[in-house]
Amino acid sequence: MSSTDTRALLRADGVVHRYGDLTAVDEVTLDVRRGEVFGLLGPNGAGKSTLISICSGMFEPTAGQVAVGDRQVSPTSRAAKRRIGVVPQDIALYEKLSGRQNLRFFGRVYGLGGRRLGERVEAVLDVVGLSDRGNDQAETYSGGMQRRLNLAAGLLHEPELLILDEPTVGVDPQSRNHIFDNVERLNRDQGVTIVYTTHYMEEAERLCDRVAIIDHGKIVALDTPRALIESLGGGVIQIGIDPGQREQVTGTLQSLQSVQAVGPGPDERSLNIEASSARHALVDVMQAMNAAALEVETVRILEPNLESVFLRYTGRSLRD
Amino acid sequence: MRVTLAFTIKEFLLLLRDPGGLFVLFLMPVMFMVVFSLALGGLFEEGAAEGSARALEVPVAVGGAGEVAEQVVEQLDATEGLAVIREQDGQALTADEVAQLVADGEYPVGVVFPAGLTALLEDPRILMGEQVEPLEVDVIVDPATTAQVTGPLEGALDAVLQQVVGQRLNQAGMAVWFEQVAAGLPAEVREQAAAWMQQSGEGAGALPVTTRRRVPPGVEREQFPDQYQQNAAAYTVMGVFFIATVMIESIFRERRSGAMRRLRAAPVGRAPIVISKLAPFYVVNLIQIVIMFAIARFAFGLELGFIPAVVVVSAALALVATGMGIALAGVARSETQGTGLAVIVVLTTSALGGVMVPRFIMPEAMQQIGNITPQAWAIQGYQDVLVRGQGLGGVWLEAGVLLIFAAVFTAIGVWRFRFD
Repeated sequence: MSSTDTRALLRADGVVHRYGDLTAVDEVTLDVRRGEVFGLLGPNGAGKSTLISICSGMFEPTAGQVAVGDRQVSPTSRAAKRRIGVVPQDIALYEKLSGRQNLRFFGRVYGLGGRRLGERVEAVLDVVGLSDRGNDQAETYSGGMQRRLNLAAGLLHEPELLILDEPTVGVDPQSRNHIFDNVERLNRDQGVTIVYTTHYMEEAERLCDRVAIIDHGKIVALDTPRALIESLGGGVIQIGIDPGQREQVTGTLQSLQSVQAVGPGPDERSLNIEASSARHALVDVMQAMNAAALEVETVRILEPNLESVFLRYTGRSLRD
Repeated sequence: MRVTLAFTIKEFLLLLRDPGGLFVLFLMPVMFMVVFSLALGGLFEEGAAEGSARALEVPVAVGGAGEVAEQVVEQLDATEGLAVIREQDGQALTADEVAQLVADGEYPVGVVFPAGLTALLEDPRILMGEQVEPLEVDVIVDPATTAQVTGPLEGALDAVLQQVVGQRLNQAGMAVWFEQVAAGLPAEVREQAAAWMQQSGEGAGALPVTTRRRVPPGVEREQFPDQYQQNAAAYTVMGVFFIATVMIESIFRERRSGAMRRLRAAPVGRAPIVISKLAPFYVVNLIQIVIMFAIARFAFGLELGFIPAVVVVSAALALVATGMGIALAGVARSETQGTGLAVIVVLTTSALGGVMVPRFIMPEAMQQIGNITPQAWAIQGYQDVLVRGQGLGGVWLEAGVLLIFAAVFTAIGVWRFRFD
């Protein structure tokens, strides 16, 4: 899981997409480097799926452009699409067909045929551990097995870039680990560049070389997980307050030496307090609030991790 | 109870989320009521009996048939549900013109009286009871016409001929007989004898005038089909179009599964995906047509005529039906809306196209509207082969029009095709 080539394989430049009055993707510019696993983090409705749909060539953005290597990505750019493998969030399979029949169909769609098609079908069934169930109808598979077959369909044509949209949603732990292993092996052994969207922090921390946090259609942070976490310092204190005292509380806490920054919390009744050491700063915070006769309704310490990073940048939890 | 209410409310909310589906649900009965009322208006309208435009119009050529024919025509015209057409552009119709009008499909049936009809009935040989070669009144029938349409005319014509010719023969015969045989009898006896003769003579003996059913010139089929054979083409055409509902369900199911979305990311254009959707259903349609005609052939004795011509019409028809399916799937916003819309469109266009009732009994305006339905052209094409005995040359126009329908529908389908 290392970035061996710093040249960008996928490049999004000023991408905007609107659904009527709603801006789903708002001026997104990012590079995904060849050979890296790139995480796209964001809660439901943040614009992840729209952004990767544009990056997959499913539809044109309202503005901006996307390229894979030297090929611009669009619904009609077949050469670019051949370099991309897409694993949608939905189980995009034909339930009445067997696993092998599904794979043979999608393989033909990507231009495979003859002996090569047969070899690739068997190879990807082996990768996802479904060789022995390949002749069973997809509807007889468990949810996790269907997810694995869904992944296999995206690997058939050996894409340079694999886009995985929330591949572990609703998956049992065994299948989830299987998918993690697949992603790591594809990246490490075959050098496949991977864009991985999720709202599970632990997945991003385990798999991704770099992570972009997207909220309300904008990229609000982009770096390695380690750098993002270190930027938090010693963690975040989240306190519940009386909304009427918001300005007074903010002013009081910003004056404390142990507090680095005070920002909005997930709702109007909370504030996020960043500190070099959250546990030490908590004492100062409580003393200052008491001295100023300000009410503290709840207190929560968020340890330094991607969840806290997300909270810092978006003011809300990933699972909101 | 609370759970039931919750489910009920949920279903209502789901229904309201699909206003198009609801609209279709309400639109369907309204469309049937309006279309059938307009199409069949003539059959139920008061005044059809008085020879209004919606009575069965029958072109008649009297030619040199004389006074007897005039009398028959007059009585036919007064018959409920019949309207005699005697002129075209101010000129009396000739026998050839009547035949041509029927051959062109302008009228389903016409009548041509033989020249010399009145003179024959005045021939002394007949009046003396000698056998003479009978004359024939031609009833010229479009083979594609149902017996329900021609039956009343033929019945009325036979009855009027019996009455008019019989009455005329009896009167003339009695006059001759009295002159030659009973001249010397007392007046009282002669009157009683005349009354008895008139009574016993009515309807007795074979008339020297008969009716003959025949097809217009140029139409080769002499054997008239029964109602099952007539219906085979019409109901095959309607059945084929119901493939649209199956196609819509299939397309929406694929969209729901997300597979369409995956295909959108694949390096294939929209057209191959749409065509791949058409091809299997096209084959299904062809199989459906084969089954329908096999049943009609072996169960009801339908003569298929020139098979290659049937194949040409069937191939074009199946293209239209699958094209309509893909177009409706593109237009509909939901599966409920799509299948409902398909049922409405198929049944409405089938009714307008003459599947349920022959188009010639519809008002003129409805007949013209029917021309914009593919069903009308398909039925016409099949009947040209199955009933009128025509070959490839007789169906090229219909097949061509059907291909235009198919191209338009498919283009709409490709244009409006959505992946999710």
